[in-house]
Amino acid sequence: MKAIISKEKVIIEDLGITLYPGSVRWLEEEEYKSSICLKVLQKMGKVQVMDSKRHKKKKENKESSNRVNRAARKYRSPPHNKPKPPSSNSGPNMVTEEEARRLAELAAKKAADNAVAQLTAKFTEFMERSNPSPTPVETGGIEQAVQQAVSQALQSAKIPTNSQGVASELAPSSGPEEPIFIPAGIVKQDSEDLSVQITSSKDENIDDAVAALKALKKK
Amino acid sequence: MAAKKHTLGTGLDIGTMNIVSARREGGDTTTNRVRDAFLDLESGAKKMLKLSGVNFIDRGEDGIIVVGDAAMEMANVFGREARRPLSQGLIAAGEMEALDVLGVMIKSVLGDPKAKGESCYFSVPASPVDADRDVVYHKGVFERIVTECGYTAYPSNEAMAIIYAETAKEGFSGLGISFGSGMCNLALAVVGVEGLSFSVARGGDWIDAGAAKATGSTKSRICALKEKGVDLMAPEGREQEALALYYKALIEYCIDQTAREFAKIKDRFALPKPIPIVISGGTSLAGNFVPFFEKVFEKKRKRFPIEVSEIRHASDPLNAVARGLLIQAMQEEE
Repeated sequence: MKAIISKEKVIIEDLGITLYPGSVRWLEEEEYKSSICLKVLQKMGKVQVMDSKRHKKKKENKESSNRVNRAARKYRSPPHNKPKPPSSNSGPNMVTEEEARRLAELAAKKAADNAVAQLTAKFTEFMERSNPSPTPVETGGIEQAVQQAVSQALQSAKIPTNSQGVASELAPSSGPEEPIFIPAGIVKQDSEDLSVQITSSKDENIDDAVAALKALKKK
Repeated sequence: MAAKKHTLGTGLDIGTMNIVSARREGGDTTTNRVRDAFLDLESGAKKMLKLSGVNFIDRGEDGIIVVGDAAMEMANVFGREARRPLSQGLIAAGEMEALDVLGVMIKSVLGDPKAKGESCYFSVPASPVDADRDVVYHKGVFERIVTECGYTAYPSNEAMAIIYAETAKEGFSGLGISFGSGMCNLALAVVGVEGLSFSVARGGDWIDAGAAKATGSTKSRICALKEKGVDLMAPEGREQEALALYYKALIEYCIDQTAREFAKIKDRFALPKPIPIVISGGTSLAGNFVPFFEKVFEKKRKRFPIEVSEIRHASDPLNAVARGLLIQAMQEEE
């Protein structure tokens, strides 16, 4: 048997299983071996897989009793009202709730350490590429800096709480308050005038329109 | 001979294809027009251009810029596309070269003010309903240019200018449509009060591009064919038929968008009586444009939410906007 512990909600597609943070799921050896998704998640540090033994016999018994056909059920002896053992009385091979929590925390810490290590490596690589000087980069300081930056970013990260989260994210970044730069001195006073096409026409309507507009504005 | 008496106030229509100013001199209305296009050339072409009397801006070592109609002609000679300072009716932020060209063009069409701080109403398109473009920068740029030319700048809605120029007898009530090159501007007004104004990012250029694509031709060829004259009611040949198809699509689009936009304000805006639709703009100069518009409109009239008394062409479609702006500027000066 394998104990699968996750530190966050993960879906193991090819097994059709959803694991929730801190939950422990037991899997048969064959199931574990056949699941590619699980192995990928394990490599990513999303889940932790532990070898363990479980009350296989008990499960088998339970399963076999479940398989009894309906016709036989009425002749079956009534189920034992066996009290469920408290978690603290679990055997040495069982994972208790506390242990599972501890393991989950351990896995989470490991994943976080991994992430920081990966970030540091990427950052170092980037620095080496952009600055090909032979001076070695002090990774210890960078690691600290990355850790600080990540923690600061996490602290300052705002999670949208309104129901229009998407809409507010899509709101335009520029608004009427945004300053618009218009350069001065577009018209050069010393520039030569271009020759333009000039037309002239008698147009009495314009004077009438001006008078009508003036009257309208006075009203 | 006595000099003509100038009436203060000037109108300036800044379009994608043309920049037009209008001024009242004596009893006449004078319009100055320049083609809103330019072409950059090597310094070597300077001598040849000087001899031919073509408009150009000398940029020293950076070459020269041919401006106006000559840019279009030279572009055809050199097999190049003339550049436009405005795209789809609006200037793009960061187009510094275009700004310089616009500065020269506007200074040339406006001339010097006749009095210090003379009023100049300049056209600004309404925000397009179908494109994410902002008119704020556009308005700011032209406000600065007009001010630097010595005028007091007043931005004014392009389609509303048609209402002022063409619907005085209806008490400044109507639906004005400016079919421009880069976009179409629409405004609905009742007794001079603007109830609705918007623009669509489609116009003559959209027709050219669509018809060129449909027929495997080029935009400039289609544009030349269009300007040569095409009868929309009786198109001849594949290219003209394609043009008519795109004209129809543009008209339908404008009608549908008007209905859609009007639906948003119908509860707040009452139309006491039927109003006219007044059509203007360079794109409306195609042969039989107004009968063609009427034909398209008749199919949609039943579902059109505004009662229309008549559909008519502006008395001077190419200068209607500039004239409407002039009327506002003159009223400001009185």
